[in-house]
Amino acid sequence: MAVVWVLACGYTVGYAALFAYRAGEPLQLLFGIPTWVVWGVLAPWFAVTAVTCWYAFLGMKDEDLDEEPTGAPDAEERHV
Amino acid sequence: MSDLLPLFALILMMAASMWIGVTANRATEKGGGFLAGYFLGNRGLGSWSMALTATVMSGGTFMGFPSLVYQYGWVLALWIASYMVVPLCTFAVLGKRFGQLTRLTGAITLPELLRERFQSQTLGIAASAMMIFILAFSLIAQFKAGAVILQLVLPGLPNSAWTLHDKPAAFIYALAIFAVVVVSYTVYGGFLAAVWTDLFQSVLMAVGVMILFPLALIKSGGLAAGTLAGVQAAGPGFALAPGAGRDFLPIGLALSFFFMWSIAGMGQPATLVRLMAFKDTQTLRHAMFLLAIYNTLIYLPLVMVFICARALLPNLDKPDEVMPRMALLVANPLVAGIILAAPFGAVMATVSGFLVQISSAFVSDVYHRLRPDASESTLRRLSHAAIVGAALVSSIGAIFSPKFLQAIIVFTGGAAACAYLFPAIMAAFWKRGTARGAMASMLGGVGTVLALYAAGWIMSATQPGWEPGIGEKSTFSPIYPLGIAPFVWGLSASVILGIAVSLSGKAPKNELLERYFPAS
Repeated sequence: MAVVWVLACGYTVGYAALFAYRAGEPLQLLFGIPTWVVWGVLAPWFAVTAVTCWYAFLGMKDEDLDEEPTGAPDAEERHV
Repeated sequence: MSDLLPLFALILMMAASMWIGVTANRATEKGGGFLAGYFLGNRGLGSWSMALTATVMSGGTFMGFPSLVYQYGWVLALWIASYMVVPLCTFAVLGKRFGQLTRLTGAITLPELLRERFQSQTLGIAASAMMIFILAFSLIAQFKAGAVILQLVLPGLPNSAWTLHDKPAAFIYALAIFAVVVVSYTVYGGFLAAVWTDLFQSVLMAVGVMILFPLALIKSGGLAAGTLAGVQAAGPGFALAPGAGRDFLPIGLALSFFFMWSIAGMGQPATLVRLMAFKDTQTLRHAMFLLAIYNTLIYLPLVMVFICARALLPNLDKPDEVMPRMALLVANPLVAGIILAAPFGAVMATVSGFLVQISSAFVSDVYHRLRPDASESTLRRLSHAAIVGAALVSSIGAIFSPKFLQAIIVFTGGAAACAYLFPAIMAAFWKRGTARGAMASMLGGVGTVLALYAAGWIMSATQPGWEPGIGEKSTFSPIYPLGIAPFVWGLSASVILGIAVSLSGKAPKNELLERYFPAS
């Protein structure tokens, strides 16, 4: 997960640093959207969404969660 | 008659929420004890409830965020870009282990989990006190958002000459109506009412955005027309970073906000408490998938809709009203009512969830600690009173709130994450973490955020005209050392202090570790 986060952050912020902060240059639009938004935000967004879907269905394994201690959760065993 | 249709849709929404409150009350009564049912829904949340209610969507998403898009333009796509990783961060990192730990401790609130895991009364009380403070502050923004929407669609509200702290009479009446409705169903149904209404309203939000999106595109002449109109009205910065007319998002803040939404989102009390309430790990996996799709369908279209708004409503005095005004402009009254029900629903859902958490912090974590033999009827009455009290305080705060909602939401979201995220990670994954380390992490994180905001208030109070020059323009601005947002400094302090103080003290007892780290 850390790898996905670092890649997503590095690419998105890095792309913006290179192409979004360019005052004075002619405006370039793709489908009415500035091109830096298309390639710097939308493209990684869809890629990460695909990775998330893969992880949800294939990457993550089901596990048993441990049982609650007897008497919980209404405080009989709380440490007062 | 057509003026009343939006109101009719909102009344239907409020009635549905009341009905959900009643149904939730019945379901809560069927479970175990009052506290576990009322504050945690007996740990039975399914995938849809987890996906659509566990993250940080709120009044800010549908009121504050659109106003920022309207003001600063396409840079807001970069500002919220980290929502792409939120499902992974929220469910894959903490989810499974947190679910296990909450069952091992038997905890039903976040402060209780920290107290049990670290065996520290003081830590639990500090966590509860901090939760009450942060969430009550956050509720101010939500109450204001709810009142703003109602004020716009209630044509019959008396708008007499009197005002209260520059708020017209109609706003005060709208605030009162909103508070009564949301408090009523929350008091009656508790945690499940908050979650179920949140789920219902989240679906409605998606429907609202899906309706608003094509209507806004058609009415404005398409995205290109919207972008060009925005550039013409607000300057070339509307299509670029750091934003129109201001250094709204310089690169340091772009990096900060990538941290903010993805990492801070994990540390929100509302998120963590839902991670304590899910049914099983299959629920978690399905929730991850659903949230990834949902975020894509909500956030990207929202940016585009309010880019178009610049073309349709070029000179709005109050940017916080852009969402309801846009709905009333582009849709027929009935459809506008449905669209308006979306932000209204988001606000109601957030408010009810926060009220339950404040109540649980006060009743379950503080009062029940001091009076463990308190009867169920006493706990019930106190829980209800805590909800009413928190709503009252926040309503008063809404009357005196600053102009921009999102400023409050960023402050409270950052402070909450700095308070709870690293202590929660220590509790779940780090055996060497100690109670003192968790306490230092919590206080150091929140203290850093508060100090940076306090410095901003002092600067603006002592130097007329001072403002930080970056970020959102607001009367509620922090200072940004090195151009980095307070949240990043706060979380850094939280991590450093948590590790350093833990390592400087005695290691936790083996008996404790064996109980809460059973696999080893």
